[in-house]
Amino acid sequence: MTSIRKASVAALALTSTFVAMNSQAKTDLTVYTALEADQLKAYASAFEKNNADVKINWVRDSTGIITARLLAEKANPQADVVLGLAATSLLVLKDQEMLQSYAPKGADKLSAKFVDADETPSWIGMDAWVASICFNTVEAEKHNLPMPKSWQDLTKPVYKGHVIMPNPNSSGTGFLDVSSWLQSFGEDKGWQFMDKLHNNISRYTHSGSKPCKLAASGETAVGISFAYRGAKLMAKGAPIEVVFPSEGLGWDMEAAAIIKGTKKLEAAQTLMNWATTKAANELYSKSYAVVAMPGVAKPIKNYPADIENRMIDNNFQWSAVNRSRILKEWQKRYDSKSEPKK
Amino acid sequence: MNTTYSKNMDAKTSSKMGFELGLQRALLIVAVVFLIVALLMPLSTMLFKSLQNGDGEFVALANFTEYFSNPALFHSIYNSFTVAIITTVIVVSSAFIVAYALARSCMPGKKVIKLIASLPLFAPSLLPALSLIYLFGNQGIFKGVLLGETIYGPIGIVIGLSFWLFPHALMILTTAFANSDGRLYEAASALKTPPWRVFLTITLPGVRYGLVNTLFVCFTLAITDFGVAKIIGGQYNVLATDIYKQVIGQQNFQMGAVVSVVLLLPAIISFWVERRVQRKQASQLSARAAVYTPQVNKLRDRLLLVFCSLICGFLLLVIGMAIYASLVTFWPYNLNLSLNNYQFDMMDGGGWASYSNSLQMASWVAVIGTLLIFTFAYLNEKISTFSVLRQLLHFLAMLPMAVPGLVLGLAYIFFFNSPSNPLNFLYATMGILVINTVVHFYTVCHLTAITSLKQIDSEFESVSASLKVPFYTTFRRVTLPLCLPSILDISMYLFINALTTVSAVVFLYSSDTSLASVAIMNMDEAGDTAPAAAMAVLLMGTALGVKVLHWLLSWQLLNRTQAWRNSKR
Amino acid sequence: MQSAYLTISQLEKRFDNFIALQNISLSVEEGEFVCFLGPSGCGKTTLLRTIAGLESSNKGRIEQLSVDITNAPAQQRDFGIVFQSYALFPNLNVADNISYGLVNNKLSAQQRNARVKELLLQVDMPGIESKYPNQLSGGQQQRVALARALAMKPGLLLLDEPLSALDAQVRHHLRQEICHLQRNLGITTIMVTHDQEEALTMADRIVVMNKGKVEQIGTPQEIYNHPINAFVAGFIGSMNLINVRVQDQQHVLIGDAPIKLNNAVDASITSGLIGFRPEAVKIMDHDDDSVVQQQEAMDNITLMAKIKEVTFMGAFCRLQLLLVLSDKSGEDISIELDISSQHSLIVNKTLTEQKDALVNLQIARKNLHFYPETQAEVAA
Repeated sequence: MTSIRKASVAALALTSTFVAMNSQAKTDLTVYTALEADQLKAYASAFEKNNADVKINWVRDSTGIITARLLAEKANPQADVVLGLAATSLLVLKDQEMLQSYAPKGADKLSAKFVDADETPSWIGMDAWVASICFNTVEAEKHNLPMPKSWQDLTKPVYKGHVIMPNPNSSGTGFLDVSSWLQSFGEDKGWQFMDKLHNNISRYTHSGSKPCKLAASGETAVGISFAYRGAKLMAKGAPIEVVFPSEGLGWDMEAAAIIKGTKKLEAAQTLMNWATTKAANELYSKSYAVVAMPGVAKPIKNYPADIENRMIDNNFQWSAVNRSRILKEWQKRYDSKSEPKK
Repeated sequence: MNTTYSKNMDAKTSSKMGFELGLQRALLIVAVVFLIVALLMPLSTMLFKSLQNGDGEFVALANFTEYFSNPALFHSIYNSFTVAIITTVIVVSSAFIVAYALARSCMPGKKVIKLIASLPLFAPSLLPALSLIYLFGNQGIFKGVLLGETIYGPIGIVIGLSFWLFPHALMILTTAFANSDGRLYEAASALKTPPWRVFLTITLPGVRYGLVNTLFVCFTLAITDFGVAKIIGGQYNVLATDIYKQVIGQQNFQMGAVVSVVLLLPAIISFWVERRVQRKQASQLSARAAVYTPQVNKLRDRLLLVFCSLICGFLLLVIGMAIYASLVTFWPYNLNLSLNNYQFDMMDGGGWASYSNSLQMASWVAVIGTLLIFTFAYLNEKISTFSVLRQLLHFLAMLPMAVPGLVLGLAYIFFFNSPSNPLNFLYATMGILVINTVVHFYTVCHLTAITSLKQIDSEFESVSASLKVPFYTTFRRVTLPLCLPSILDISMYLFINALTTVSAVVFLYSSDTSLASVAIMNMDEAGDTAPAAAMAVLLMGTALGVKVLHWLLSWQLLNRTQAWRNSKR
Repeated sequence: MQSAYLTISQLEKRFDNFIALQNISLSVEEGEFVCFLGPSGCGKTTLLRTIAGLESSNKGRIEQLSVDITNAPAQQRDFGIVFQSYALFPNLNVADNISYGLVNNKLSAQQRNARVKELLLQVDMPGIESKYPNQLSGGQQQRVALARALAMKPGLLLLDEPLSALDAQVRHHLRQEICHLQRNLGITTIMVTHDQEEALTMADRIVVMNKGKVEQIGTPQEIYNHPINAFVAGFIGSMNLINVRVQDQQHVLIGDAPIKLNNAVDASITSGLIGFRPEAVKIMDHDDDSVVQQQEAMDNITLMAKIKEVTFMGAFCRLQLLLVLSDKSGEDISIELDISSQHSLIVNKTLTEQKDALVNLQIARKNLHFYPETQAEVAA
């Protein structure tokens, strides 16, 4: 008897604590993100300063994993909002009808390509990151490699075994590279280019930033990656140059959206509204040279100033629709003979 | 009422007995239900998933047809087998020589060699892979040794796995050698048998079951390992990395399930063979015999010492390189030593929080796992009724050994994340990580518990019944104290494995429950190799520290509570 | 009629297809010492465990003091048990082992200590309360186990081969002590053993078992002197058993030699075994014809035999003999018997003379047992 009474008292105490917490607590918003760890704190505090009644609980992981998790949880979504995830991934989610359309206040002030084209947009963009090449000058000297100027340069025999790029099957950056080559060179020429590139690749990584980090540590001379990572590593003192190939730069944007079925729609909309503000865009511009709101971006160290002009005309819809076909083809061509060519 | 006093007593005892019986039955049912829910149902869900398309419609074997029509995918089967077989041959042959040296020679320094050889047990399997990058990678200090071959591929996987598997193989083989009969050697020398014939006719047959057993254990571990291949496999696809790529890279859960089924098959077959051999060995052992005392043979002992030193040197080199690399500021351009790489909060993977999560999870696994597994093993071994339930329990307890961690983890996603599952609330919590890890390492603990329970006189329960003492009193007063050493061993085994495992939990952690072992993988995946090595070193140090603590604690505890063990007539 | 302390009727126990106990019926009187005796695997231990409730039965009924306990769990039955392995809890000292069951009895610590002291005195081991089992010898441990079994003052004491693990001297000593203790306490006792000497010396009654069945129940004297069948005859003591054919209702044939029996043989029986204990044989020189003829009339039979082997065993010698019959079939019939080492046959002859020496064997007709071969055995 006593033990039962004890248990019930404990249960009662527990319930009342819960109730007390709930009545006092602000709305807890679960936000899935692939932003860098150091960006999260700044974003959250900036948002919560103006919206004291909403608290952001970040769930952070790499693009591939966050996307996989969102899809896995499709039947029972855990996230309220997605903030800072590649647009290609959000398009997959949209295709699965997992996004709640909403037009944030001030969405009209953003560049058109940063807003979902639907009447009520399902997602809005935040900033863009561009593909580029990280080139280790020390290793290059050792192996007598010239600095590449274009994507096509990378197919030259001199680079054989010195190029690392992300695997499009596991990395968002990798897919961005492949889809932008197919778009800018045309499908046939795109595959021909990749056939030749494949001969020079020493391995495909699962992460988009890894090729640049490998270039920075001299594991490879050439890493196909994205500019933000390269600029950061240069700042750390790595002997690398970031090369922006002349044919144009593939790019993807970080975007935000509300997950359909959230029980905290109001708070979610508050966050979407914030993500469209000028203040937010100014925060983005600390890391990215291109942001959604025109005129906010300012030049970043180690970045060319005209980067926005060098970005290709990326058709996200096309990428999303053809994604599985492209990946299958890529796998058939390059994934089967597993050992790297020597 | 005209009930007499004694009848009253009878009624009372009879209701107490009914309670005891009911309690036993209830506990057994809890045990079986636990394993069904935490093992059988997730696995079945996964099997069903492999027969469904993306929209959950039944498509029979269409996924398998697709899998086998894609050379990129099924080529991995060949790769997996190649790597597993080569690793097994290398590990078993070298471990055989070392075990032979330890058991059958007068080589000096046996204790030190044993100690060094056990070190890899405390390291996450990712550690050797990371270390190999610094040893043989493009900027590696011994790059030239590979003669232009790359470490990123089968060579790296085989070396990394060999490091990690060596102590496992050595343990089984050492036991096998220890159990051989010394009198056979005396007989042989009396018959003037040359050494090579002694080896072929006595030594080898004496350990043959242990040897076969080791082969299969190594093969299973090698073919199902995920960590090493993930980090150093480069373009060399194996089944384990394929599952990860399908699920994480392509969100193709059905294909992930298909590859899981493909990986499950060799693991189950190898497990089945191993269990059969194990059974034979047990029956062979019952004939106890004299202990073998090796004779001095200077040439042989010296050669064996050289070999063992080489092996130990390799093990120490791998560990040492990981430690050194974790302290280098920016490999290879700034070789100044610093603790920069230990600033995990600046990296991907969850930072120091993941380390404390890992400690937390390992502690929970050690406590809850030991409690559950030992209690269930007790029910399995010492209760005389409900034999069907007990057989089912034993079967379920043996099953986890055949299930690769990655497969179990994926199965958990399918099962626990379904909104129609009332256990859905566990998803993405520490709870699911603990349950998953307990189940993943269930079998070895179960067998340890069963072995120690079998050593206890089976009549204790009968005596207790005759003295009208309830079974749980005997469990508490006699069984637990007698099994204390193995209970401590089980908890230690669970703790270390929970701390270092990657495969099962890689699909299950959430952002609040990120784990250090997974952080190693994520940091490496993001290209932060040095911090990854730092975390691996940290985990290994922690595991070793806890082991020392465990040793001191159990020494204290056993001294205090087990006076009866040491008392002499 | 006063009913027995324990009554077992038509008990049956199966393990899958193996029948461990078959149609067992017996009763044990209050205060009686009963031994279950039989070769290993005969079901005696299973029967004991079934009585204890440690095994369940498939059929039949067990009553203790007229209460049906067939399906009662062990905890509800009234017995103390001692195992061959002692089964002392190694982590508890002697006092804790003995008082293990007393703890439930709401006795004060003082009362418990007093009871432990009393029990240790009873088993003749005072003052060892604080020792641990591994500090005691096997015999000492078994005494402690006995004290523990008696602690709760059970009405029934079950002993499962309690002496088998002990060495000969200790076994002998403890055998007597158990008997004394049992008689003093007057506790109904059932002991399982495969040692016939143990059973013969200790038991009031012996239950001889074989292949899950009871072969014979009786006092040691009854069992020894009147074994009911060839199995009991062969199992208890030693018995020379010789295959015979039935000639007519009065005679059987060993080879071609007719032997007259005291009791008439059923007409339907054609063959069987004839048995006699070695001590029932008188051995005489072959040429002592006069004695043979003279004694023949007096209800004795005489057989001729050849000494095959003589083994010196100390006080006696063991002879292995082959019967000598006119049709030579005696070559296959061997007989074993012991004679005093002081016998003239041993003292007066050299080893080579002993070998192949012919002797006459004389057996009192009343000591001959005839065991007809049953149809079942013929079929087997």
